[in-house]
Amino acid sequence: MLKPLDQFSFLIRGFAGITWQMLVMWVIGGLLIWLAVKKDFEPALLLPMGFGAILVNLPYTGVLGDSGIVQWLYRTGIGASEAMPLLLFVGIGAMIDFGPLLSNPRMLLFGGAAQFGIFFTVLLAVLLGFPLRDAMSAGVIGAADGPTSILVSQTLKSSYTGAITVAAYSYMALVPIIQPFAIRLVTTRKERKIRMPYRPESVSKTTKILFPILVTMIAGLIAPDSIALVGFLMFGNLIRECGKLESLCKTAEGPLANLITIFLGITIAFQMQADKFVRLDTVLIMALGLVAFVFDTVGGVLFAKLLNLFLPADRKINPMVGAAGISAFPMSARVIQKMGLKEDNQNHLLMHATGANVAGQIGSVVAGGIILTIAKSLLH
Amino acid sequence: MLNWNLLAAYRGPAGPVSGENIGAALRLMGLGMLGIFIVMLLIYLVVYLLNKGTGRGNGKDDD
Repeated sequence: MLKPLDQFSFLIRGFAGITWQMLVMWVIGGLLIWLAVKKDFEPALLLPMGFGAILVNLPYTGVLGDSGIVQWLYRTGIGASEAMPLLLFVGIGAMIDFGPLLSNPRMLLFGGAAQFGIFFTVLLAVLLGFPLRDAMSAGVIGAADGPTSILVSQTLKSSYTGAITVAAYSYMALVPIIQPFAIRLVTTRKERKIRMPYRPESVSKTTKILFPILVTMIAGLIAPDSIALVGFLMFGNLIRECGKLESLCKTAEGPLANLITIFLGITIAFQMQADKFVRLDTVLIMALGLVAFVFDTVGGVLFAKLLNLFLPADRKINPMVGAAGISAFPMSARVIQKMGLKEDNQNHLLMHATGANVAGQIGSVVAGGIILTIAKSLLH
Repeated sequence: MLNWNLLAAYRGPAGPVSGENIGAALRLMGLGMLGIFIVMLLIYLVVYLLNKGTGRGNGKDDD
């Protein structure tokens, strides 16, 4: 015979199952929601992730386990084929206008140089004692590209996918704080005042249509593992540029991207379960992500300074434009424009920075693919 | 030839440091940056040729 109080024990079962780690995750979830709502930091992703962090960290939660919806979404949408980040890339490709880059293709070089932080961070992570696969995954936070970070860390089977995703999206939102700090570290006021007149040259429709096809082929031939990332990004762009699929383009950049975004955040929260997330390693991963962003910026700036050594005085590049070679589009370009105007209110760098910024979008997915390709031989 | 085992004598906050991993990370840095620049230079070349070949600036089939 049950005692009267025992009959009500099911009501307090949940409370009894709360651990201090869960409380930490509730606070983190609340913080992410606060950053999204109050600070407007990547709200489309941080809000679902914050809510998801609370959802998966309730005791005996029904969203996990074999019949749990979050676990199913993760297994199907990310674990099985990385479908969610890749489908999101179709939407992103449909949103991007590569015109400023095609008009001034030398900006492509910055999209390469500003990936330096990724590789520097891999080395730093290894020196901190992380296994190589986790070090590579942490480095890819520097791709400043959420879907790429998710795909690489997932493919490499890193145990820090949750922390890496949170870091990738949070730091992207913090670009207006991180980049000015890093740029000032490695530039003088005189360099930041360099003017770059913008002489736009028209780009033919044929070029705009052939560009996504040829980029896919080049990236696919050199780094086959980048083909999913590059291919889906460029497929979205081809839909945009072909001029015949306006309705599909609108669907890709609107409803498709929105639908995936709604569920991506909450699905990623699967990796934010307290027992996996509340660890010293997670803090280290977040710190490494910050290092990656700073060194990406430094890499882009220093490369521009290097090029300036060989350029005539009237064709010098404002080194800040190099920093826009990270993939955080379009925040980084806006930051550079703002910094340029702050130093000289007639110095408009936006179009140059936008060119470097979309180059960074290509550079980051190529970097992700190259890491996956090289990882095959290193992680045998 | 560097002896990575000397560097690996210490233990990092996330675990033991592997000399082999340090070498692999450096190799990744070299090959990775080289690979990215090769891809970017090839794309640069392709864009340059496309702009030349499709009548850039003549407004023929511009948007």
